[in-house]
Amino acid sequence: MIAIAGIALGLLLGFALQRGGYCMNTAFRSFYLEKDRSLVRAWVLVLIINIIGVTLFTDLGILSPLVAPFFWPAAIIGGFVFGVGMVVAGGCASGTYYRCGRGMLGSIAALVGFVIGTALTDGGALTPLQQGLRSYTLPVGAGDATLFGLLGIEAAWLRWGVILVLAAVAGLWLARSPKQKFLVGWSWQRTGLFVGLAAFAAWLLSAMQGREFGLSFTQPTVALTRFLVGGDSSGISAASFMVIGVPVGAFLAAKAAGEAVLRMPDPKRFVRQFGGGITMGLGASIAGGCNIGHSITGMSTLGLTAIVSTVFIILGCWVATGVIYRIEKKHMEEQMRLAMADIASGGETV
Amino acid sequence: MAEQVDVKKELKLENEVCPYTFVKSKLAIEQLVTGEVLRIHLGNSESAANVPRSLDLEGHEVLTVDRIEPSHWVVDVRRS
Repeated sequence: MIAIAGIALGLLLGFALQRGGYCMNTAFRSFYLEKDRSLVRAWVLVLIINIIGVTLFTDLGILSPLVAPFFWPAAIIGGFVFGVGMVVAGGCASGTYYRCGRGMLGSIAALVGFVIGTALTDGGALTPLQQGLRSYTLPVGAGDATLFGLLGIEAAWLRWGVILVLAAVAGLWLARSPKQKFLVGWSWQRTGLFVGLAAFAAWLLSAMQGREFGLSFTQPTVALTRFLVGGDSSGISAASFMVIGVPVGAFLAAKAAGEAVLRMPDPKRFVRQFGGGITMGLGASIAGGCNIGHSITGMSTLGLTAIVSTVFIILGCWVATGVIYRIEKKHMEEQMRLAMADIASGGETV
Repeated sequence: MAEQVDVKKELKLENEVCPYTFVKSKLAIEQLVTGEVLRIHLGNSESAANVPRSLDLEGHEVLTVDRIEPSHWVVDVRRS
């Protein structure tokens, strides 16, 4: 039953990710490099749905979300490392999973790297690094380490006040969006709605199993590896089946659109994507989550570790993108100079 | 039609991934002079949407986005 529900959720999510081209690496990068905010808007819509949904269901007594302790050094370092890794890997954790389904071989290399990186740092040889960085926690008030705990807000009306103001500001920004041009696949509205509902469904599904944490990719990846490689099924949950469903759902969406094609990047890029995947795995295991576990699920509880991790994932993404931009620029200027020199010398001999 | 356009430079990015697709396209078009056309080959739907949209927002004129094969898009952009 749990397996079927997990696979079904993964299929739907993978389908939505592929149709919407929902890569959070692209969303985070766009603040820095591009003027297009479409995927940022989709992410904000996902957050509005989940912050309101999770708070409401918690107040109703249906959910009691697990909030990570505020291990700030792990969140800062792990988040930054993850952010750098996802740029080099050519996609975030969820982005890598769905692109595997479409047949992008570089993303398959990145996924293998991600599996290795998470296994190394969460239960493997690098576990002391994870545990060491996580041992520094900052106590936040009496309750959970959330924004409300930090601000000392306990009254329900005050919490809802903060949430509704945040949602109103975000909603106003979304409502004033320009029309999305050059659309291939789903609009940001539809993508945000479907990914948002899938993330919320994951909360309900995990509550049914008593795990009380929503959509995530890092923990289920580790759990699946431990089961497949080591025979330890203790971490297996609906989420482990969900991560299997994602590439399959993405494959079906791509197949229907004629886009499921095996694509091989040049060998250098292939190796870099593998290295990016390992880096991403290290970061996610140190920070206790990826762009989904922290930047969607953790942020729906307004958890501090999730917020700090997300900020540093974004910073890592910007730094890596900036480096790539400068390298490519230098490379192109060099080519241009060579071409000019060629023309100049050619002119003399003729 | 695409054939009538005088293409100054062509970029083959079908097997390339983000952020390289946009970075290379942006750098390439900035090397052209106003009015010249860059032709970009892209191999996935995300790039086929994001690259033209971002170049359009940079102020360049996207002339055509043609899907010539199921996973092969050709984008012609005129330098602003």
